[in-house]
Amino acid sequence: MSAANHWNLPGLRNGGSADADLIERRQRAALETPAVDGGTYITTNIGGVDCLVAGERMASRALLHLHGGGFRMGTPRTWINYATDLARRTGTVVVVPDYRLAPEHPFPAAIHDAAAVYDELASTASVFVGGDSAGGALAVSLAIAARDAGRPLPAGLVLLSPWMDLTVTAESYSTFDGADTMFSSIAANEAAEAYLQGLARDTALASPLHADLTGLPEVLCFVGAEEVLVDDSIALVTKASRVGVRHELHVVPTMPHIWPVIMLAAEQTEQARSAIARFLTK
Amino acid sequence: MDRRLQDRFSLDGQVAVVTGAAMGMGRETTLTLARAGARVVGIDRNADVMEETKAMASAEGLACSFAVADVSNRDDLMKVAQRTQEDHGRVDGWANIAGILRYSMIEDITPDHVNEVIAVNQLGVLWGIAAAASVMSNGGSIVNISSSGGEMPYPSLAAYGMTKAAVMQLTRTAALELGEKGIRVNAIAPGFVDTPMVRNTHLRADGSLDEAKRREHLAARAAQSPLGITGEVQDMAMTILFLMSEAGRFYTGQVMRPNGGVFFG
Repeated sequence: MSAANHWNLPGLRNGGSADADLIERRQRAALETPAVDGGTYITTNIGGVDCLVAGERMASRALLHLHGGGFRMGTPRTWINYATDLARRTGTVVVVPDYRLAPEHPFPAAIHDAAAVYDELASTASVFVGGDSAGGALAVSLAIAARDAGRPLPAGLVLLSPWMDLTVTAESYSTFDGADTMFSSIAANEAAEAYLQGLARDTALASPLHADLTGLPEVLCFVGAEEVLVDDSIALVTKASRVGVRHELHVVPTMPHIWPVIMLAAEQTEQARSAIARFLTK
Repeated sequence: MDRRLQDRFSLDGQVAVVTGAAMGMGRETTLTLARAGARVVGIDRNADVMEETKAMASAEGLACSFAVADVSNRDDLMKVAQRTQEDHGRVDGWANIAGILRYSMIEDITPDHVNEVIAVNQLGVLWGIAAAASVMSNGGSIVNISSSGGEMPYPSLAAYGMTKAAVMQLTRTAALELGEKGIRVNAIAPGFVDTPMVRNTHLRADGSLDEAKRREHLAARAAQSPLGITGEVQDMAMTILFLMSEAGRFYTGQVMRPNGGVFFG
């Protein structure tokens, strides 16, 4: 991967090995969601990274979506429904890279992979960058890295329940510890350790709430009102607005972590996806 | 928490089947038992909505698999039991959660209405117990969902109420019959829980949710509780986890009543 050369990214680091429990969880997490009616996708290599590609590969508009899973699990297959739906609604090519995971490949390997895919897409399309959960951190980090390296900026950022602060100190971790069954401070701390492996938790490129957000493109963000990560989204848009970044935040009651990806039949998912479709096509 | 105490609630190494896994209590129970360490087979006749449970399990990396089956069909459940035994080598837990809610005053009840409710709520549990017992060779725990509506009468819930009362007696009979195989059988009679099954009764004719009607219903039910609250699906999943775990080993033939104190038994 050569992205580091013109992106000025920190160099790759050696990682540790995944324990048996994590390997098993990764295998379990490999379930597929169904493509929407009339939606198509392929898996192909873009910029040296295997990607799920929904819609027309050479479309003039792309959404590079970085999946969640605490930097250490998740495969693009779970995002098939989300990707094919947005592609069908908007004519955008939606690309979900199978980026390298921690702890085998700690920070910044995932950002190197995302940058390589971004470069390739940006050569033919206007590229939005999105992400859910830990993928939200990668998405914002990628935009920051693009800005700092003088690369073309993304056309916009689409964030779903993004994890913005790896220090795991937000009050919502305790407020919603009981209500949010999908994510917790324990899981967050484990994931952050596996990803950072000794680097400070507030490393700006890993933990974008600690970065300068000046000059970032417009942000569309969704978060459940009773998620442990709700404070991360609120803090992100608060900080972004202070430096003049345009944003739209939807704090949606009763919805679980990353519902627009996984709650396939919910009315709120339809609402979120149609808002994203408008954002991509406006 | 003391590690040994925690272990008493763990389902590590166990295999459980959950019916009605597409939504509501069944979905929450599927995810909760898997979080507790079990490999869970979720079944439902609604394949489309079950995709959501599947996606949620996948996003968390939980050990769940899913199959389309109709609990009112005995053969379907027998096949699920056999298949689970073949795939995982054991079956330790079985939660009969699939249920339907239909309103009708007695004078208006049609044979179709009552037969549909009996087929799912009552016979679905009977076939579920039979299927579970056919493969639980090392003992196990079966949990059946009854309802406070099986003990407290509500106008227009005659069919629902009688099937839920039947589940309690079925549970006691099964506990007697299966005790010698080390199989525990218990029922849960939930009070009011805001699930999709209940939400379906708050829809307008055009299919949209009547939020005012829903809030009014929830507030009325909360007012019946000394705690002033209605239940969450997680409350039921926790009770089922307890009954399936080693911590619940002395329980059989019982009706648990997570209902906010609306009814004391």
